[in-house]
Formats: sequence, structure tokens, C-alpha cells
Amino acid sequence: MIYLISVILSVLGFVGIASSQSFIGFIVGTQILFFGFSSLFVFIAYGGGSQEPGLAFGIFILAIGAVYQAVSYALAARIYQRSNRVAISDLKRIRN
Amino acid sequence: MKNGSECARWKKWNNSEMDVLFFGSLAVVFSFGAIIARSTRAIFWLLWLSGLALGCTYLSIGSDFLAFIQVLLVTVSGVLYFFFGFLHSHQSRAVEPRKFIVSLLLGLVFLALLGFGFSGHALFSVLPNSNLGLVQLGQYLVGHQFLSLELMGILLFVVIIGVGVLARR
Repeated sequence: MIYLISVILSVLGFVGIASSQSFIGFIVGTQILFFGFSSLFVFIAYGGGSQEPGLAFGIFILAIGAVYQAVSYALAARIYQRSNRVAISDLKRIRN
Repeated sequence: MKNGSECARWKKWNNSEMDVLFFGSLAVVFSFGAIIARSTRAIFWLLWLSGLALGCTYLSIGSDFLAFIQVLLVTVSGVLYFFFGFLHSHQSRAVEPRKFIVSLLLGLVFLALLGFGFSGHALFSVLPNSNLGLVQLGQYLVGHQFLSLELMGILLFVVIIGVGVLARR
């Protein structure tokens, strides 16, 4: 039952990413996906014998999630400066 | 006497599992709200609450350090999102019903794939009641995951510079 929480969070994140039209929705969905996977590692570690690997990988996933958030918000600010909105389709505009 | 101590231990296990289930369910509910919410302010609050609930889940299983990182990360991210929300607050984040249904179907396929991946493991399990100290975790990270730790540090450093450059151009 406890792993199901992580699985549901991951699926919700996936649905959020797939259904989003705005770049912000994409960021929110990915953050929820990161929540799901980091908690999955932690719960698996606590359900199994040794806990250190799961906690370590949970920390790594959270850190990568933080990196992803920072880059995403910088990109979103850049998109907004260019096109005055934050749609995924506007990502191509900042290529040049 | 022995039966009494075993009974108390089982009670503690069950309490811990109930806490995890409660806070985990809260995280799921708040995350779902963040996905379907339309206003920026609601998304910010729901995502922050979801992260906090997940932090409480980690606290319930005795992982204080991870809970601290989770709460710190979600708060910083929430503040970023809150300030960014002022920039594009006029833009609606409406989700098309048709696209949402297709995404939901894709999510169900993803769920089936995850279920297939977990078919060898027990999805329904009871948490053992064991706490891992911060010193042990630090020793494990430095002793067994030193390369990953260093790579993570370098990645964070590069990203700090990259984000600065990206935002300044």
C-alpha cells in the first residue's frame, strides 16, 4: 500500500506532463514525478534490508529535481521575455 | 512481559504505517489538485502542501535528513514559482478536456508498466521500524557513493552558473 503512494504520485506527474499546454504545467508535472520516484526509492529502501542506498538515491533524485527546477524556471523566464507567455510551443523561439 | 513488549512494537509499526499512509494520501490529493488547478496561486499552494506532506511521510519513517531536504527544496521551489507567477498571472493554464482524457489514458498505461515492473515485488508491505542515523548515511555517501556525490556537486555548481547566464542574456 505504501509503494502505491509513490506509484500514484508518479502517474499523476506523468499525466500532468502529458496534459499541460503551458510550460509551467510541464514543470509542475515533472516536479510531482520527481516526488514520486524519490519516495519510491525511500520506501523500497525501508521495505528492504539496508536503507542507505535508497536514502542516498532519494537525495540524489531530489538534488537533480532541484537542478531541473532551476533550469526550468530560467528557461520559463527567458520564454516569457521573448513571447510574453509561457507555452511549450514557444521553446523554439529561444533557439536563436 | 515479552508479549507486552512485542505488542507495543507492533503497535508502533502500525502507527508508523498509518502516519505514512495518511501523509502519503495527502500528498497524492494535493498533487492531483495542483495538476487540475487553473490559477497560479492555487497551484503554488497545492504543490507546496504536497511537498510538505511528503516531507511528513519521510519524517514518519524516521528519515529526518531527507525530510529536511524535501521541505527545503519544495519551499525554495515554491517561492520561485510564486514570484514567477506574478509574471504571467494573466495567462490561464486551462487544460483541454480531450487532451486531459488522452493524458489520463497514457497515465494508466504508465501505471500498468509500473505494475508490471513491480510484479516481482510486494506492493502491499509493512514498514519495518528502523531508523538510520545521519552519521551512517554520511558515511555511506562518502564511502560508497563518493563519485555520485562529487558529480552531484559539480552538476549543481555548473547549473548555478548556467542559470545565471540564461537569465541574464
